[in-house]
Amino acid sequence: MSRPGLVMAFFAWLVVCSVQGFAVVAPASAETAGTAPSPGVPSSPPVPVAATAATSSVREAAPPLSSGELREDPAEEVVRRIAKDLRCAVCQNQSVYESNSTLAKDMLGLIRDKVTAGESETAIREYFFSRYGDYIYLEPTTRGANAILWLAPFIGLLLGGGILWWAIGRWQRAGNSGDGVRDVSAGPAAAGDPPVDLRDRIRGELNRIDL
Amino acid sequence: MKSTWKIALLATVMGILTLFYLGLGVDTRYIPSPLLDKPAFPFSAEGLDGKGPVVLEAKPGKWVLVNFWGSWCVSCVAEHPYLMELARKTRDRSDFAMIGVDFRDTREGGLRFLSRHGDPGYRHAFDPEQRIAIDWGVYGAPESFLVDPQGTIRLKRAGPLYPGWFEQEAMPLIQGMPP
Repeated sequence: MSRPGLVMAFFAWLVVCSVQGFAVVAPASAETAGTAPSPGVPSSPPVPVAATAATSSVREAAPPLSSGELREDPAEEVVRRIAKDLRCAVCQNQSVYESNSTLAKDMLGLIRDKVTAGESETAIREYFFSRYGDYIYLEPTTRGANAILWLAPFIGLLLGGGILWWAIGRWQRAGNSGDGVRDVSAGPAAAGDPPVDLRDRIRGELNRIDL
Repeated sequence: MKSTWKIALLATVMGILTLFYLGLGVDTRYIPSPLLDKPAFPFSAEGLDGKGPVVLEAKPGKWVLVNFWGSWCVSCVAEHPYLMELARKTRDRSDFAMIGVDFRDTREGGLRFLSRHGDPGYRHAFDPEQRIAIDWGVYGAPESFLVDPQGTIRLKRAGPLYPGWFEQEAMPLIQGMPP
């Protein structure tokens, strides 16, 4: 594989990693939350309620009513999903769900009331968006001018990759057409000092640079 | 060729520095309101004085200043003398009215504020759970909205109104629109 090819492959790998990064974050956090109490370790006093219920059911088959009591209201899950995406308007980097500010608490109450009243999730999100604008989402929408935010990194990456491809191609051409310098990547890795022709080549290139 | 690279490098660095410089002037606490030039949300809420509901609705020929405040808000104390003055000056105008919204507050707190700093004379809606405030996209106090006779929000100011605000910002709008 040629060197520009390798560079492009590296960039493609970077793009794939960054795209997957968006998807990977959520399951990873859910996993760490789920596997908190390890079964082999004796449980210390401050164990989460759900964990105690789980271990006791393994040992002595807990009666079903205890799990029924612990179940969360399904509406609360919707409330949490909405509130975690909304940015608290007075604390900048906390979600409405996590913030302790009075505004966030009242917003949470409003979301809860709206969910109870049967409003759809999108309608509730739209309600806050139409009143607070782009600011209200922790993750900006991809609509309109915001698309630049999402596309610019990838465009920059492609542009950088293209320039690098072009530049490396040029260096290679310059190197090959030079005075009989052999391709360095072809030879085995030198254990000690670089070979003499390579040293000459480095010195020659350093002499050519003026910055 | 080499000078081209130097110029490109210089231009890139200067471009990034310019973006940084422009970023210096941005107030990250300010949230631009998407409600400007949109219809205001009419409300009918319990009055702070307990004497029946306070209603905001589009009235032909009437501009309304809606002022969100709370007795817990320090800037509201600073703004209050101007609101008193504005209410006194515009009492005889048939094309201008004022409404206050006391939000995130207790009734005693709101009433104590008015008795201590002066009652400007117009009525206040009482909004303890800030339902009206959130509906209007309010995130701090004081905030003021100027609503035109058609019920459209024409001005929003986050922060206290300053002496001369009415003449400088409201009057041009009011005069620019035939009743």
